[in-house]
Amino acid sequence: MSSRLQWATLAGCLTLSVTALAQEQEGDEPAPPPEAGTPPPTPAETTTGFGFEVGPLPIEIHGYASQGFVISDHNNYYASESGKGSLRLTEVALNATSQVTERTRIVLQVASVINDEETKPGLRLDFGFVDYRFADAFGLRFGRYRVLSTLYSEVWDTDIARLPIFMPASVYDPQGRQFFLSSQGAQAYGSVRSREAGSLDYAVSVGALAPFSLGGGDIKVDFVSSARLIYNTPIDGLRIGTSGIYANGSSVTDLGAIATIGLIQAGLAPPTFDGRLGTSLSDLWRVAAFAELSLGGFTLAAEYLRMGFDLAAKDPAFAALIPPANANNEDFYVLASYRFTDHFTAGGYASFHFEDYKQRDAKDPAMHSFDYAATLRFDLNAYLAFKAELHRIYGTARLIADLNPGAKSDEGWLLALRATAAF
Amino acid sequence: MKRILAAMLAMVLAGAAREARANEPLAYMVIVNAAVKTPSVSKADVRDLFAKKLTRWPDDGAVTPFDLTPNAPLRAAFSAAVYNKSPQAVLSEWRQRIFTGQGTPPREVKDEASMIAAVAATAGGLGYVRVGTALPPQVRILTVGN
Repeated sequence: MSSRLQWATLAGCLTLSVTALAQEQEGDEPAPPPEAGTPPPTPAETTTGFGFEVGPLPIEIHGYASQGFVISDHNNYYASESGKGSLRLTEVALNATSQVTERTRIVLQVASVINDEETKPGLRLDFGFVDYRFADAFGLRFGRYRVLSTLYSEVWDTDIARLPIFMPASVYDPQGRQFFLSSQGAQAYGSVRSREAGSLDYAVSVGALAPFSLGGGDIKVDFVSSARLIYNTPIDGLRIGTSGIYANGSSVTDLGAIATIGLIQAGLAPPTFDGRLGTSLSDLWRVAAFAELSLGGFTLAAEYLRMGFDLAAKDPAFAALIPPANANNEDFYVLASYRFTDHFTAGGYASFHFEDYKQRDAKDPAMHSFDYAATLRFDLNAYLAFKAELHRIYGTARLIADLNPGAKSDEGWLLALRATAAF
Repeated sequence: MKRILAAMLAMVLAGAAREARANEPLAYMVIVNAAVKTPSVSKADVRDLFAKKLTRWPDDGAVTPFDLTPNAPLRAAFSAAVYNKSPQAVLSEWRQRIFTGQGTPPREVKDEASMIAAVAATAGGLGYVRVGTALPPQVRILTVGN
């Protein structure tokens, strides 16, 4: 099934590129002189997406398909067999938007992701919500929506709209996608403008996460709130901002029959223990500050993030198995890119993650992860992009344990290639 | 001989002038449906209107912007002047918004004639055409200040 989807993705990319090239040739023709009486455009007259009407409802469809390849020399980064070369980086999404009334929109996006980070591949609801915009300064969304936090949360899952194949893993930890990408509940948003002082974009949300699996545990986050402020300064291309997330949740791990019996026989668990070990995740907070300068084709961005949480056994009887622990992560990166022409963009970043900000000098490679990446992007046209990216990675703190069950190397190289088509 | 040299010089100068004209950015003017009451907007307003960050005119009518296709020369000139970015870069920003459910780009029209027709036929319609283009009575120029 997954290989069929991967081939379909590649075929789709090629078909789109050929169609798009033909359209691009047409687009180079000079515009004819204006003529009166031409009918207004229908939603289908757009190069991004296509539209149709169902009764009185206009519906616009967009989508993307992306296929990646990774190969590394030592550890497995982003795929369970990246050491041998892996194609398990496939993403396909379809987005439908309907402007129901002047102020109301309904949005739905479904996606299928094949990679080794998500334990339950298949079709998933990325988001689906009703959006009512009272005014430019205030709107409300209800349903499942994208959590707006950090500078690039919008492009975290959208390869075509960003330069790097892999976002800096310090702030955009692949394992955190399911925590910090989508939430369900209510979101308020808006933009407050001043003619002289620029504008302030805000988004505030309160809700819960849909249950998901990670690292062998079933995770439930009953409460998550987030806020983000972005100040678009009067200096052309400069925006600065801050964001925060607060959440509480729990996880349940099924230890299996053998481990359960072993724990009972060792006296570490009561005879009634059913093998499902509960952990509470409390007071998770994640605060970021960021800035981006974008001038012409040049972009310079930096983000700084701190995250903490407390972990403890739900049942105090298991405190010996799961001793109370807390996290004090510190993350930051600097990214620079330059668009040389409409076709070529190059850039790179330096990304730093520390498990404990109080122990930045710790020599243990498990306490940090540094990633230096360089990317070259080639846009064949508005619909199809190819990328090549080279990483030099030090430290093992950001290595995904499930992908690296054996010994881990303290450093490694990673080469990634990706083709993405979008409409 | 002098005549030949003069003719060659004239040809070179004419060619250079033609090239300079071709490289000159196209001048655009912003147009609106004549029913829109707003007399003028700032350049920042124009950017936000086309980016759909400003979705309502001050008289509370909905704004409906139209855009040319990404390969249209006038769109490149408009993008450079208003966003200081290429149409491709602007498209990339729209994709960020599309695939996070925050909005969809303005409808595209194939040429300036279609742009005028679309603005004329749409309440709150907003677009742009080359300076000097003749406009029907249903469409007027929107003055853009600093």
